[in-house]
Amino acid sequence: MKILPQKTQTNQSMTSGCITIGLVFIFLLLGPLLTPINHTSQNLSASLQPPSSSHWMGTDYYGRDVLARLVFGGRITWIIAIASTFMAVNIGTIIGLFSAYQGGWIDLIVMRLVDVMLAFPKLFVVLLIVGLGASSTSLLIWVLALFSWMEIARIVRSEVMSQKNRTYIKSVRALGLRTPRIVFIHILPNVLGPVIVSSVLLISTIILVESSLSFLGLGVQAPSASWGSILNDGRIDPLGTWWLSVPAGLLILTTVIGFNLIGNGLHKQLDLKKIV
Amino acid sequence: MILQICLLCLNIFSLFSCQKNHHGQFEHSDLYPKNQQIQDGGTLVIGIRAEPESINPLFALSQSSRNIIRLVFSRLADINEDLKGFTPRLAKSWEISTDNSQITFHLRTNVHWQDGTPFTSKDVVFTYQMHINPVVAWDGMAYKQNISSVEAFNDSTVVFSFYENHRSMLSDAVEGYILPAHILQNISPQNLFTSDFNRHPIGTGPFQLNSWIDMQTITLLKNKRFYESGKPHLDQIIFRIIPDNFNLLNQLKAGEVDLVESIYPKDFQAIIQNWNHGHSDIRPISYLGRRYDFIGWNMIDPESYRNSIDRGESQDAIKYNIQPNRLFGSQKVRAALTMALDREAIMNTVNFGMAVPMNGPVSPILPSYNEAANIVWEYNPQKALKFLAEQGWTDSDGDNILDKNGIPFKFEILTESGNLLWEQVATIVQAQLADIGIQVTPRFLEPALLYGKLLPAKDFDAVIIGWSVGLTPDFSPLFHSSTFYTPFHFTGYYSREYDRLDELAKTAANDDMAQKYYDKIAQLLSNDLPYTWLYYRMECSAVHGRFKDIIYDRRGLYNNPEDWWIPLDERQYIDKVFKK
Amino acid sequence: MNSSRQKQPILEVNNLHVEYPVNFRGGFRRQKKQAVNGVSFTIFPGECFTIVGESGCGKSSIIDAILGFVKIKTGTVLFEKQDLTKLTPKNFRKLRPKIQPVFQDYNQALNPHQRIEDIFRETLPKHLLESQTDQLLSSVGLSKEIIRCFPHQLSGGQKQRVVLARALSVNPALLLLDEPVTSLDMSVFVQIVELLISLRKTRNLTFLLVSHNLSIVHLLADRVAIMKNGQFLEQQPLTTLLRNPKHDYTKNFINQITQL
Repeated sequence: MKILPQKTQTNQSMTSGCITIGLVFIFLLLGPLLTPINHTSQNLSASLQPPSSSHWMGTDYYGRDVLARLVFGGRITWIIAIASTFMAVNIGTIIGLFSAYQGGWIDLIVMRLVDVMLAFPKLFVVLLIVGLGASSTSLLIWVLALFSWMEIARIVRSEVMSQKNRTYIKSVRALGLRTPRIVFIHILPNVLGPVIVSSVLLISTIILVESSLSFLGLGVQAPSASWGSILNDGRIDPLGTWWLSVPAGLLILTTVIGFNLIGNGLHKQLDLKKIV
Repeated sequence: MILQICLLCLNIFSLFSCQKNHHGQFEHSDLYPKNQQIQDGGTLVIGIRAEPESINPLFALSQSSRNIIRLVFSRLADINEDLKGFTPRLAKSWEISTDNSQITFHLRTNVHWQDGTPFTSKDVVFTYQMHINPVVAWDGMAYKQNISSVEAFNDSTVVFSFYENHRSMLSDAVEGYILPAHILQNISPQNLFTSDFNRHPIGTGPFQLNSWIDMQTITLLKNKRFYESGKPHLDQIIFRIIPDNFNLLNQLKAGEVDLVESIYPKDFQAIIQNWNHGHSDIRPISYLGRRYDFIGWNMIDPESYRNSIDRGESQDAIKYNIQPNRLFGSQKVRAALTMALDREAIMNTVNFGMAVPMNGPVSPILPSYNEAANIVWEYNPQKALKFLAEQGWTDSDGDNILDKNGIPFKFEILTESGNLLWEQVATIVQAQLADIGIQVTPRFLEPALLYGKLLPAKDFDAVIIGWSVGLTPDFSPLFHSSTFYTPFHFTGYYSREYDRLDELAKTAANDDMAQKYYDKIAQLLSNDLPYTWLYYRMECSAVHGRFKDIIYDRRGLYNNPEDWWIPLDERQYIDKVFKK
Repeated sequence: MNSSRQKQPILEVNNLHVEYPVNFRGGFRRQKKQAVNGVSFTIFPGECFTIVGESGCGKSSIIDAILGFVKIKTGTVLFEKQDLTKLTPKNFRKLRPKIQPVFQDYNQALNPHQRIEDIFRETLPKHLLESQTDQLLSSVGLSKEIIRCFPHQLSGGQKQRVVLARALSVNPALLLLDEPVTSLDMSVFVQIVELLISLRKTRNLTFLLVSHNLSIVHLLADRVAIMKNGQFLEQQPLTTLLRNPKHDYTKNFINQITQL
């Protein structure tokens, strides 16, 4: 199993995913050039204006520029998704690696724990925790990560199980290397392929969960924005204030589809039959 | 946009011929021409958002429960639109004894309960006993505090005796719906809360309960024994429970629901537009209601309050020894915060024009309201900064946040999560205070959590909430020192001057004297600013145009349901389905 | 032969039993399969002891047992008088370099994500890395150009040479050769066997060879054990065994080579 694809064959899923995500990324990166307005500056006399030349995407209830908020909110959404995916992948990989490498009762207990945590509906648990505590961006990242590592741990574990009895692992064990070195230097690089695929898919899952939380008012707190909270602003009058909900909804949709396409593309590219 | 809102306001005002009189009250007159012959029959469908918890006047709290109770039960007398006189209901007349210590009510003799039992003075005495029973814990118990006894002289005469001569004696006596003694006397007060009566009420009102299907409909039928002959005119009133706002409005538009209350101002605008252009039969109704919203500042230091209670100090000692709040303990700071807020812009943004400014404690619907008595803190960020500088708050370290002795001016503003209006206010307050260098963090809490922080603990910085006011001016639960430890008094406000004025206003010999003290109270509180009053809300409702003679005013929408009627030529299918 | 017997044994295996769990069901109900069933043998320094048997007879399990990769049910494994089965994991790890395995599947014997130079980084001290790597590679007949290569860029024979070099990098006393040449081409096969013979001489190594291929046995072995169903049928010096096999099973085996 190789991380870097040896063959470069046409992979439509990968290409279209990369283009989609690339476009959204450029929008987030260069967005401030389109609108010089600060995303939190209110102008109560210009509230709920439809798109115009001065506000390309209209204004919200407080007269804030929706385009500026989409750019800023998108950055927050992306940062939260990528940060918590990064953490979830780290937690999941380490737990999966050691659980599988140690085997026996430790493995048994850890995997039952994973089963238990997977049995909880993720959104519900996150909702509960975020609802009880004071909601902040870092708490959100932590909570999302703490309830997303299980799938990664499972994938890593099953990969390690197949790797750990291979000859090269036996050989380096016989050389007298320490367990952490064997696990990190020899096993880890060989299980990363599936982990990368599932973490790309996890990003889109977390974007959805974060958007749902912010939509319910429990995610990113005012005056910050995320796509979910902008979507929520348009909830009261979805037809009358379409410029609040439609662009935010489309951006969430595009990003999620984009990451899923990349995930599928990587999967094909790396020829991983084990996951999905 | 502002212009647009103003125009809309004008539309609203001209449309319903609301006139602002010298007290700032709104009056409505949209009665059907008197020469028309009133025709009986027809069905009114009312859309409500939540299922009523109970149709028992002793326990009902929600708006929908109270509305149904108004239709099923009657009082001895109802207050008039001027909030001074009373219209006889179950009592046909009354007289006040010469020494002002007793009121004698002469009851109607032709009244029957909806199960056929005659109504007598026993029911009035029984109701009073229920009202003051601590096991029942009726939420209007305070009204009855001044009453020493209620006795039946004979079947149609009841005498109320009072401890002190208050101007509110008559309104205290008639407060509360009369309950059927012959049914409830067999139930012990402990079991009353769970009794069958709460879902199968028997009253003396114009309508009687016919059926209650959980989470769907509650159907009321015309009470044929109603004591005012020839009334009510409608055959039935159906309450339909539709929790989702979007659905509720669509059903209103589709004609499946005739009456909806508490419409969100933005939706209300659309209803006004359609009615004005003749596109719709849905008539918008708006009037100054009972609700106002404000920012409450915590004037005492939460920690010192907690420590003082932990040390077990006597309540009076606590009152005088508690430290003032490090931020809001100073009147100048509260005034500065008030001036830093563009309250008119806040009002218009969150209410879409469906609100009026409020600067003092007396609500605009009360006869004792006098705008001239209030001290008005106009929007003036420069002056606000000057006030803050005088109190030592300046941006000495250049980080765009005011500070004093190295401590930055930062605080949390709490509000109820899920209350869109308040969440919006919090967001605007945050932005406007940021402009003068004050860092505010809005926190949206579940109601139980929020009120738990405010009420016993006083553990908060500032809060955005609203009150619903009664029809008589009484601010002692909010500001009087005797209520310092009771739930509503969460700001920790304490003023001997206020205590004195409050007593004087309550015991004043006549209305003119009382008015003098209410003006002083208004002046004092609008200067001390325990609250920064934001706005007084207008109620937005809509009803199908075929219903005539609906009198709505500051008392509400359900003032004369027995008079509502539908002309024959405007009847719809649903009005004809019902046959007796 | 006689002189070697008088020396202290380097490895002594007594009454070894190894069993594997099969049908692993959630860790609670296990069925066991006997892989090695009471095997005893002794290897002396410099010797090449060979275990011959069909695949599945338990030969490889003996190697796994010596390396501590499977749990030993009963029996002892004494390496230079120390019982490996009773060592703590830490002490066993320190002893590991002395016993190095070389496995049959050279394609899987190298970490696919490590360059050849990095393989030696694992074991060789930093200051000697370059010189010792060169020396090791030349001792197994490889040029130092390959050090920047990944394993998949090498041929089968080159890989097996790298595996040997890696094993030698920790200065072992005992090499466990598990079918070291079976899956190689005939020409490469001969080269590797020749390499093994010369290494044994130059480095004074002891071999435990496991194979079912009698040609390598013929070239390398001093003493041979015939194994079937987890047990040794007989243990003889190679010459005795070829001349005078006791079991029919052994005779069949020998007939196979003579027919070749």
